[in-house]
Amino acid sequence: MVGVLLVGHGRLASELLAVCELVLGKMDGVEAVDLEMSEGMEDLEKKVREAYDHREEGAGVLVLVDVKGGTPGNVCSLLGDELKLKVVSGMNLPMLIKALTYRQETLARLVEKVMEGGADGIEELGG
Amino acid sequence: MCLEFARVDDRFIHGQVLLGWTRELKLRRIVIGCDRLTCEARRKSMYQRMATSELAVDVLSISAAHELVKKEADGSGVMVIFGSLTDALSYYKLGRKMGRINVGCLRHEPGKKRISDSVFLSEEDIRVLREFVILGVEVVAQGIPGDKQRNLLAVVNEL
Repeated sequence: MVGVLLVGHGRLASELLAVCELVLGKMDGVEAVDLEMSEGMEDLEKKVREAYDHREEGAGVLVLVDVKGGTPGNVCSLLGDELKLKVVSGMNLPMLIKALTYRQETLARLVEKVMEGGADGIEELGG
Repeated sequence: MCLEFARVDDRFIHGQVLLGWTRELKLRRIVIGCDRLTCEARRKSMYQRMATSELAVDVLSISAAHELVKKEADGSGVMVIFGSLTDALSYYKLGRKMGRINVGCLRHEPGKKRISDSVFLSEEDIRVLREFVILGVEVVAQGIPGDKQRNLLAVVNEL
């Protein structure tokens, strides 16, 4: 199945995963990587490579990052030339739930699902 | 004439720059001055791809960055970013007498002194910092426009 990595500034990724696990229960195949303020791009690259090695089962890895143009997205998109991964920015809880629900899909199909899921999750709820 | 805004940040262009400074300074051009990056095709192209119709992005050697920026009639709206204080000093010595240098992120490495959560300085950095101060350049740590400015030498002297 496709592995899933969450990469963000501060503790966004690990907290998002913790909240997701409150909803879905403990999940396999997913890992959060946090970029601390004190760390540089090389530090983050090392951590992402390690997490990738843990989660790659042969079907590739989907990487969700917090914001386009930020260091997590920059580092991960560079690794995309070398590793079997696809990077999608704007990670939110609906995207993550979608990703973990459809890990059996192909990596390309999972990217589509996750992008649909993220957009569907944004709606004006009145009030 | 207004000189370009000079920043030292070993992440070069990232969220703080694109989301914070670009808007605050109404940037129309960001020039990365880094000899090493010009030889790293993938990283170079990653930064170049951040350019938009309103924002030019150049990745150049320090001397080429100097040649490009000095052609600008007005430095307002231009940011030049270096990966280290040492590179910023090389640029300064080519003739760009900036009065102030903004420092964003300088990563932690063994042996470096902690200035803040995102700024760590080596002995070499501190030597260059003192040289800047002697040249009359103020070096301030400020990640994003809303952050308080911290004079780096003042923090170092308190360590």
